[in-house]
Amino acid sequence: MNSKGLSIAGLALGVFAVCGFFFCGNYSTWWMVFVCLAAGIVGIALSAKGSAAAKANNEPKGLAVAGLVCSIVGTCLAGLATIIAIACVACVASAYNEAVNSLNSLSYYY
Amino acid sequence: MYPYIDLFGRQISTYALLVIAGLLTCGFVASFLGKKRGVEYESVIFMILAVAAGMFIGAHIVFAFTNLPQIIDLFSKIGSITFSDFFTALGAYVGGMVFYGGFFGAVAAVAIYSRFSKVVARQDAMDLLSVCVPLFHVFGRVGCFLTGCCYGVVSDFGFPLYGINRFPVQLVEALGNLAIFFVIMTLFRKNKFTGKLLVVYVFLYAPMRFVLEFFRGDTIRGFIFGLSTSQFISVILLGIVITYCACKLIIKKTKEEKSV
Repeated sequence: MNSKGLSIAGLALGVFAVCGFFFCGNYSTWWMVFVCLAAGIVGIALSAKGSAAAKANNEPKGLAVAGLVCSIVGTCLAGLATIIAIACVACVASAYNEAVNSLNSLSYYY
Repeated sequence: MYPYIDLFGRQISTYALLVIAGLLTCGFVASFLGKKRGVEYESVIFMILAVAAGMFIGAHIVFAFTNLPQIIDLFSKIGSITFSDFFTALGAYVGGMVFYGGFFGAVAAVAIYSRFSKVVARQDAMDLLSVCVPLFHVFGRVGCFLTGCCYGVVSDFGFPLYGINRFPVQLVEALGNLAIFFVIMTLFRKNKFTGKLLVVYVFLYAPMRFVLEFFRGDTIRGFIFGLSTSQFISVILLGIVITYCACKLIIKKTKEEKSV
């Protein structure tokens, strides 16, 4: 397997993911965040594959490691922008509703 | 409660920050420990990607199961509500996550990965997963505390959430998971229970989760036969694990008697 090709592809995708994050702040480019996340994840996979291939062929791993670092940073940045706190938004809403209901019941007696 | 912080000029969810930090920390720990079993960091990276995908899908699927009647009711109204309203409601019914769903998804992902990997044995992959799951859970629970979800019962001892003082069950569970992480990591480094650390994890986590569920104040997560969804799953898992260990013991004793 061509380790150099895989490493360069991983590096390119990683750099794209990092740069893309800083250009997707506008409402009109909100979809860029998902593109950056996908690019970062694919970049990680390609760089890891490139690193393993370089190790198997006794070649230098510098390019693969650079690609891996860029891709991980890009994925983290894109992940920060895409993973919103929807995980337990229903629980948070429930806590808020409970608080509002208890305040309403207090005001009923006064 | 600090659901958001400002970073790079954007409002970033603290939950997202802790999930990312958790994944990175687990990656480093798994790479470090994997060297003992001859697992290279490239394989660990692929495992982390597989686990993240499995965790994400599994957690949402189990959450959706807790809202099954509402989802069925929503689909029955397809002709009478707008596209936007449909997806908003579907997002609310599927958008949450259940830890056990993420756990099952992660185990399935590692099993599939080790099945197709030529370099990573299944028992090594499962043992690494057993070390990383409680560590990641620590970050997740701290994220829950900061976001204000998975909150505890009303209590004099605790932190206010929308003006009501609640028991910090998220932090208690985070501390419990940290203790479980250190126990399992010690067993891994001393090569004890090799290939069975997942069983050890369930023995430690399931009873803890069962007890802590009594201190949870969010009723939205659903109940089955009087127990919360997670208590029900804890009982089932513990039963499976006890049955597995009992069967293994009986088979071992039968073999010893036959050899005598």
